[in-house]
Amino acid sequence: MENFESQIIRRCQAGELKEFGQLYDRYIKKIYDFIYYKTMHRETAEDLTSQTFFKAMDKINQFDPAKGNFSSWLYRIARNTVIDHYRTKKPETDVADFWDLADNANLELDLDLKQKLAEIEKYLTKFRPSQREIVIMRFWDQLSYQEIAEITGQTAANCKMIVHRVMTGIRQDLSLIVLYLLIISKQLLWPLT
Amino acid sequence: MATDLKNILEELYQIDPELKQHETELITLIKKIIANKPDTKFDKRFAKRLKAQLLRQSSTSTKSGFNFFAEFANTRKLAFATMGIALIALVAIPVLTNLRSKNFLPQEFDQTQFNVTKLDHEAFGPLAATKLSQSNDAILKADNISGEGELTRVAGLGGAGFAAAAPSVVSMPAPDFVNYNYIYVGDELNLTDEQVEVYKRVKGVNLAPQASNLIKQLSSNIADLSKFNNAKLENATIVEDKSFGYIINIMFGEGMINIDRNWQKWPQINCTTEACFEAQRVRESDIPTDETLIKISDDFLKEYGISLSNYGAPEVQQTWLRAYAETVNKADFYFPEIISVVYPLKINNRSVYEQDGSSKMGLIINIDVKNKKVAGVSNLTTQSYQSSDYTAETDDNRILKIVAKGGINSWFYGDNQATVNIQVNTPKIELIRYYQYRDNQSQELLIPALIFPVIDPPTDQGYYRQNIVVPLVKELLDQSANQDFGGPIRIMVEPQTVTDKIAPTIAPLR
Repeated sequence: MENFESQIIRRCQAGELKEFGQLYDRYIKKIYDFIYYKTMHRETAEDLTSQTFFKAMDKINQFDPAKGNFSSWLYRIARNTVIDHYRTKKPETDVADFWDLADNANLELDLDLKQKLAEIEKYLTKFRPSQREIVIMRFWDQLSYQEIAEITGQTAANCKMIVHRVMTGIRQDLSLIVLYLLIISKQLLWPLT
Repeated sequence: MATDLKNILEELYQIDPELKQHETELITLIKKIIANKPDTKFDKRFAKRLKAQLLRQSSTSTKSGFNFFAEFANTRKLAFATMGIALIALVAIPVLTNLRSKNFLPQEFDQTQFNVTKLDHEAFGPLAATKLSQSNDAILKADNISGEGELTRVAGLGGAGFAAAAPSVVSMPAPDFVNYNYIYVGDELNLTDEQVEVYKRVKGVNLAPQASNLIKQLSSNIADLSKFNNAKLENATIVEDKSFGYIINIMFGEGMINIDRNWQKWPQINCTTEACFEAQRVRESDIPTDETLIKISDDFLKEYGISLSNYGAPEVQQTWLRAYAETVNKADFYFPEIISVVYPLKINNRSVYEQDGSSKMGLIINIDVKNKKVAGVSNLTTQSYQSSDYTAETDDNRILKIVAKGGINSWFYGDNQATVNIQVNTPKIELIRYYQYRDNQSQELLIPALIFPVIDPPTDQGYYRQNIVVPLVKELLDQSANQDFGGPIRIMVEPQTVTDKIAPTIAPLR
């Protein structure tokens, strides 16, 4: 039995594009959030979300369920839309989110985010963009590794491994800081004579 | 969050069990990252606005099923195109030059030949939904964690589809949702047939050996195709190289032919300014009368020898008229560039509807309104079927209870939403197209169903159902009762005052 989403897609592909509204309802917030985490700017996220859904509706005939699920296909469109957006800002690199553009004075970020981002930036910016992206997709977008794999074109096992490396890396950094603080405090308590 | 944290930890331990020693640190870290997730400031007004724009756009563009080929024709990657064309020429031309003599195409690939092979009782296996695929499970999981409301699939029957009835969460904007209560005012149903005949279209077409042998003979500078073992010819594409030419795609595996515009040979709009686009817009005066549309369609079918022996009288799809009626400022309305004429498929004198009863299924002819020409043909299929009897539902009351909820594909927005009563009339027994997934393949079944016509459908924006559908196969209704899937889909909405908007002449449910 075909699931409800597949029926809607099939009907859209048969020309009943008004049915696309039901797909939109299911994914609008997820896709908007996904884009927001990459742009951290409401107007930009809204603009890129609009582009994503118009592209998806326009290209719905190219979606092939044999090659993956609709959700991953839609996220891939969103991801490529964000990459295209940043290419216009920094054409020489394949940046996938705002973190790589932190040095760009013209970058627009929502003001209230600064403190939150500063907190997390110390953990995440030291990792490669591709690693960081997967961690955010897992932790913030709450996508499964299988979904992340389909969206990014990597294997699920590789995605898991990346999150593991990032978490281990952060943990070790924290351990070193704790150790350093411990040594310092001991030196303060029992200074070398 | 707790469940997700647990899942993340378990995933990490799968890779490195030793990490468990540092669980406290990890939990702190993960919590910190999750807690610092920014508020995305999702604006429901934006979501509503965008949806309106998308729906407006959707009403002005009609798509035929296989634009991939049109896309391909437009691509500028000439090298790839040349390779493709060379292969197509090698494979398709010899096959197609023999089409008329049917040297390569077997008898089944004859759309005029309608035949049904009767099989044993319930030969297609259970019709009820199987568990969702892994990918769809993933979708539901993702829904579950978005944290904004509840989506519960309950009743329905077969058609609707979220096979897993587990509560799930979906995030969506909240337009003005309304629950519809369908009241039967027709004649007594009198369902007496204990069995109903379900059909399955036989899709695959085995090409004559000469066609497959062709592949063995193929060799080029690109690749030696003869090295591929047990290779079969699955698709062939013909590109008509003339003004207003077509792309014809023959799918042997599906037993289907689709025809689309060869975009390179059709006039294109090359506007760069708003004024130019405005000047190119379809005007109301461009829309041909129904008679003209049907004549264009009939002439095309006659010219290309497409038989209508299994199809009913043509019907012009008028869906755009509704959108037009709902548009306040008529000057803003984008008239459709394509209008479809449908020749409804008839199986043993029964029409075939889409699963939700929204439209009749059949041969679709898309007509380019500006150029007054056929832009494409879709759903041109072989007409070879198998049939098998299934136990039918004969309990009128049970069926009418399902009708009251809206049958299959109904949506329920919670008890706190406004409710509108709508009357439905005496049904006809017709067929609905129903897809069954089995062994990673989609089977197309035609299932007898009661089609209840809606009397005076509400004119509110957003209401679209013209028929309420209840399949007659008992197994599907049983599944519904067991809540494997179906039933009203509960959708997140903001609380609203309960109002019974209209109450036209209400006949008591029998």
